[in-house]
Amino acid sequence: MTKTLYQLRAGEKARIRSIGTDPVTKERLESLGMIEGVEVGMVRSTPLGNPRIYRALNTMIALRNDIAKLVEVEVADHE
Amino acid sequence: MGLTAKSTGIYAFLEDLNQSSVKADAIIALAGNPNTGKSTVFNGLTGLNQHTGNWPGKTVVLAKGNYLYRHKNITLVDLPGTYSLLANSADEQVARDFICFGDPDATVVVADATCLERNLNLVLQVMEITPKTILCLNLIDEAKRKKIEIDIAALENILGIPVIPTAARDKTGLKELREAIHQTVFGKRCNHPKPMVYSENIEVAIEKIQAEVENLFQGRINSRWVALRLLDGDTTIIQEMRNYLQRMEPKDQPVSETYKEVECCGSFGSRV
Repeated sequence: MTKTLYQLRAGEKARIRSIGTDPVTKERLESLGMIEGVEVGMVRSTPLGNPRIYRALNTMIALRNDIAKLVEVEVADHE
Repeated sequence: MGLTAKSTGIYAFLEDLNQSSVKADAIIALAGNPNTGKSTVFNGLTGLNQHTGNWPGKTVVLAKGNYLYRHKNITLVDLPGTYSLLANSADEQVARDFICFGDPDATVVVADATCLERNLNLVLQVMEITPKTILCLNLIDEAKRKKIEIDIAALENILGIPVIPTAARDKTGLKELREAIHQTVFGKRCNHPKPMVYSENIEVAIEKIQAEVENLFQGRINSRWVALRLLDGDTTIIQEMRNYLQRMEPKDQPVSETYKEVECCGSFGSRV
């Protein structure tokens, strides 16, 4: 099932399908490990709910929700 | 990280290197992602005591230090930590400019062995600029504790560059790193980094732009890499090409002419 990164609940994992941000932000995300095809997990939210903490390539990354909404992910269906 | 465009110029720093009392036999750049222990490696190699700390973004300006190995005086330059060299921030630009235009004799990329995959992004970018790249796999003790096993020989094989595991905090592996640097700069050993080949239409475009860039720089910088950046629409590289040419040949060629040519290359790049 396709969702945005923003829609993942804490503990949920998914695979990145596409990054729909501007090219500079995309490059930045990629250099932090958020690359198409890579598994990401939603770790937890923060007190204000924005940003939220994700994990990719064994690294925790805090992302603002407006950016997380532009990252499309594929959640495995077998659950 | 608090750097102004003005303070990112690498040339003042290079002048300073040239004028220092002890002539360096080789200049080595130290690059790597933030918080991988670059400054600890720097201190371990030079015996200096540059401030280290467990937070990213600590090194915001260039630091230099020297060490003597096999009768060679080596100058080490500690670059700010960056995730990439695509110059999206002032620190990235300093690191990129130094590796590309500063012409170091070798570049050591310090990578975090506990999240190697992410770090390899920068390694590949540096390898694309210079074959004289050495991968220093730092925090190998931490990786071992986390039950991460890294096949060093296989990694060397795939990348085509020397890979040295270190735990700089305990000074483990630094002797091997010094030797690898020595071999890369003065030895017969030649690195053959895995070439990065792009899709055909990009390769055709690179070839066109590269010829122009080559004309301007005559082999002194990596024209293929500059062509790639121009294709990418990176305008900061145009300014840096200007700075470089202005510094390198103020006499040989009327500067205004050179400027025009750089401008040509740039607009060509953005058109493709």
